[in-house]
Formats: sequence, structure tokens, C-alpha cells
Amino acid sequence: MRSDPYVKTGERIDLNRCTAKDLEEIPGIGPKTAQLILQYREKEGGFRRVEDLLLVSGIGPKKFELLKEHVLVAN
Amino acid sequence: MSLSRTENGSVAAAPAFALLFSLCLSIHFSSEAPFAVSAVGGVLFCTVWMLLGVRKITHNFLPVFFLILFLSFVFSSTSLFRMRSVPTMPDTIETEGQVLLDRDWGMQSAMLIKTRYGKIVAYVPRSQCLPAGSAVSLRGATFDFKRAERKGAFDEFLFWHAKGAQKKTVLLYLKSVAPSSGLYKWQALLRERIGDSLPPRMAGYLSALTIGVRTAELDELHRRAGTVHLLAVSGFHVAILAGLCSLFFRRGRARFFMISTVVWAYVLFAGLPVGGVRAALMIQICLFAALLGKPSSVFNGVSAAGLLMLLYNPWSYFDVGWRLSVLAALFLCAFSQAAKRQRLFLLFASPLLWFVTALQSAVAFRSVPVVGLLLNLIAVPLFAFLFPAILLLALPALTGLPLGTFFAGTGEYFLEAWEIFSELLVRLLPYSIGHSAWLFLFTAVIFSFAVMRASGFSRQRTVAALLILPFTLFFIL
Repeated sequence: MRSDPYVKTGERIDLNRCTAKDLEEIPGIGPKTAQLILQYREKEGGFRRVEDLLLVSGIGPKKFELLKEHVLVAN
Repeated sequence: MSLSRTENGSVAAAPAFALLFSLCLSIHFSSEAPFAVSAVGGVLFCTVWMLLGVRKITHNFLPVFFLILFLSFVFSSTSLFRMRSVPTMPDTIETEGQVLLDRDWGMQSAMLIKTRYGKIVAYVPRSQCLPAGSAVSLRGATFDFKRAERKGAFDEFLFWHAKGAQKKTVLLYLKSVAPSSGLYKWQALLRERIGDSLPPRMAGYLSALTIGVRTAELDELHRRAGTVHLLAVSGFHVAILAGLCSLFFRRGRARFFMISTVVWAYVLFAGLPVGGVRAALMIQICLFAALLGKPSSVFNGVSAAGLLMLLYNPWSYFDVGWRLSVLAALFLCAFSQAAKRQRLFLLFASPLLWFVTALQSAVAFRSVPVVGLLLNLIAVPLFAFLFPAILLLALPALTGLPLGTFFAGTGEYFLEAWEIFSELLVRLLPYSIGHSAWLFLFTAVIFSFAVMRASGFSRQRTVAALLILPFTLFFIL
């Protein structure tokens, strides 16, 4: 199944629209982290900014630095 | 312009309490009601409080009455305005700062850091925590604190705002650029010296007494016994120190300067704990009054100290430490004032104080050990003697004098004896109580009775007011 065309803007993935599969395409992100990101999105009603990823359990500064280059939060 | 306590009630007896009362009410209301309603509500209750206490309106009553109302409105509205203003802090910060506080936070550590944007809190693994006083360079993302999910649950927002923090930060980079300096350095040195030269109990109590650092073991021991207040630098410790100072300086300016200097130096060295600051402010107010030859009431002094702390940081109202400290001090001063003519009643001060603070403690810590009711009767006078004794017995070991080990060992022996005794009582009385309507009612009645009497209410009016003034209950909640 192909991703929603709005999911990817340029080379980055929109955190509020992506699927677990989109996230797993990012190097270093496995199914577990992808699931945690989606759970956070569901619970909090979406991401306000990329830095919100730091509030996802299991994502520390190192993983965030890795992720932030590949994601965005579109308006 | 002089006012009569018997005729003018709280306006003459305890004007600071009326102001503190109205400000607390305004802050309390503000979590539910709009800004204007909260501010005006506090002033209205202040009006009712003052009018209920007055027996005769004399010619000099009205100017003071209106001045208090005006101040009440100014204090309430400015405090609420400050609480409502949203902190302006960028979403991401890269700056330098200083660690003001470090403490355990579950499996992690929490650091309160002062930066040019304001105070922030960072939770870090214990291994990465830097000691208070360290200068740091940091980069991180800032977030709002979490609010309590239900009433009575832990509220991260209120907890840290009461300590002056505006946001929490997830750190992406943290580096110590300079070790602790100044007072923090001295604290660290003393902490190290205490740990190296004293046996464990002596070291634990002395650290708690001098630099406000409590070990988990000692904390747990006193928590089980319901005597944990003895470990927090508070009015009890400051009063012992001020009492010892006043033995050497009985009157005059020397007394004022010496007691002020010693008390503030101690409170500063102990890390400005809430109870210690409150007590130091109260002592300072009473010393000022004595120096100027003006009459002063300790009850009014405690109220003024609590009021000044709230004006400095209105969020302190939500700090359980501030509440317990002010509540206990207000009750003790009010009760001792009310029982001045019948000194036998003073014997009931400790158990009644236990009830007054039990409800607040039960709300904050879920339950309160009943054994504390009994143990505090013994512990408070005992530790009033033990604390200076611990300090004296520790000095030879700390300074490397001969027989240091012997003296420190003697102190350790006494503390161990106390530990065995308190543990024995804890086993005999292993019960604890939680928040209940009966405890609430009992606490409210005794606290209200004491403060009304100390505020100049007649006995009849106090009884009548107790029946119609359930709003005083807010102090306990």
C-alpha cells in the first residue's frame, strides 16, 4: 500500500500524517519506536512541533537527533 | 494612631493575618473563578473577617480598616496578574546557566537551572546529574509542565511553579563549564567532611541540620514515625538557634544584628528551605519591632512572613512545604497566645498541632502514621536538646581534634537509642489515617478557634463564627 501523498514533504515525513511503515523507513527506527510515536500522536491529538518527539517514551536525545533530520510537522 | 485589640479585633490584633487570609482565598479561588471575581472575593472575605472581630468602631478604626482593604485588593490583584502572565520562553534554548537545586526524581534526578530565559527544570539520568552550584552550558527543547489528571493527584505544574520554574526542558546537550562555587562550594565541602568524619546517623542528622540534605534512610525512618518535620530545616531549628543567640545578646542593637546575621546565614547555608525562610522572616519582623520599641505579636509576625513569601512567589501557596510550615506556625502561635492565661493547655499544643497538620499531610502524602501523635510529644522537646548536642559532639571530629571519634560515637549511640525506641513504637502502633470528613471537621474547628482568638475575636463571636464561617476551612485544604 502506498503512503498518502501529503505524508512526505520533500524528503521529510509529516509526523501528523505518517504511518508506522513510513517511520520505519527512517534509518534507526524500528517497528517498536514507530508504534510508540503513533501511540503518542493518538493520545495527545497530534504533534505540535518536531521537538515533541522528545516526550515520546523511548526517544532520547540521541534518537531524536537521528530522527529530526527526517521528519517535520506541517501546518 | 493606636488601636485597641479588645475593641477593634483583628484590625488591631493581627492585620497581617487578614491580608494573608484574603490573598490565600484569592489564589485559591483563581483556579476555579475568573480573575476579577477571585480578587474581589478575597477582599470581601477580608472585610467580613475584620468586621466579625470588631466589637466597637472607634474613630481611628476606619482609616486602618480601609488601608487593609486597599492593600488586600492590591496584593490579590497583582499576585493573580503575575500568576496569569504566560512565561515567554522559546521552544528551544541554547544557553548557559547555573544549577540551583538537584534532587532525586523517581529513577532519575531533577535539576532546577537558572538561565537568562528564566528557571527551567530538567530530568536527567542520575549519572548525568550535576550538583547545585555548577555552571552549565545546555541545549534543549522546552515544554509546559503536566497538570494533575484528577483532583488530589500530583501536579507537576504547581509543584515546580512553587519553586520558581517556568518550563521543563528535555536536554539535548549538557556540559558542566565550572564546578560549584561560593556558598555551594562550601556546602559541598561540608557535606564531604561530614560524610568522611562522622558515623552514619550523626552524618545524616548533621547534613539535614546544616545543609538541608537528607539521606533516604533517615527520611524513611522519620516518615514511618511521623516526625519527618524534624529533618527539614524549619522554625523549630531556627528558633533553637535564635534562642541560643539570645542567651548571649539579651537586648539592644547587638542583639538585633547578631540574631539577624546568624539566623539568615544559617537559612542561606541550608539552601533557603521554605520553613526556615518563613521562620527567619518572622524573627526578623519581631526583632525590628523590638528594636523600634513597638509591640509585636508572633501570630501577626508569622502571618506577615507567610504574606511576604506569597507576594514574592504567589505559587508558593500550592507548595505543601509552605502550607505545612505556615499552618503549623500560625496554629502554634495562635494557640500559645490563646492559652497564655491557662498554661496547662500548652500541654495539648503538640497533639493538637498533629491534628492540624495531619489533614494537609494526608492529602499530600496519602496517609499519616498515628504513632506521630505520641512520638512528637517526646521527639520535639528531645530534639530541641539533641540538635545542639549533635552539633557540639560532631565538632571535634569535624575539626580533627583529639577524642573526635569518642564524642561522635557518643552522639551516634544516643541517635541509635532514639531509632530503636521510635521503631519499637512504630511496631506497636502500625496504624495510619487518611483524609476523612471527621478529620477535616476537627482540624477546621481547632485551627479556626485558635486563629480567631489570636485575631482578637471574643469567645462568643468565635463560637458563633465557627458555626457560620466554614470558609476558614480552606487553610487546611
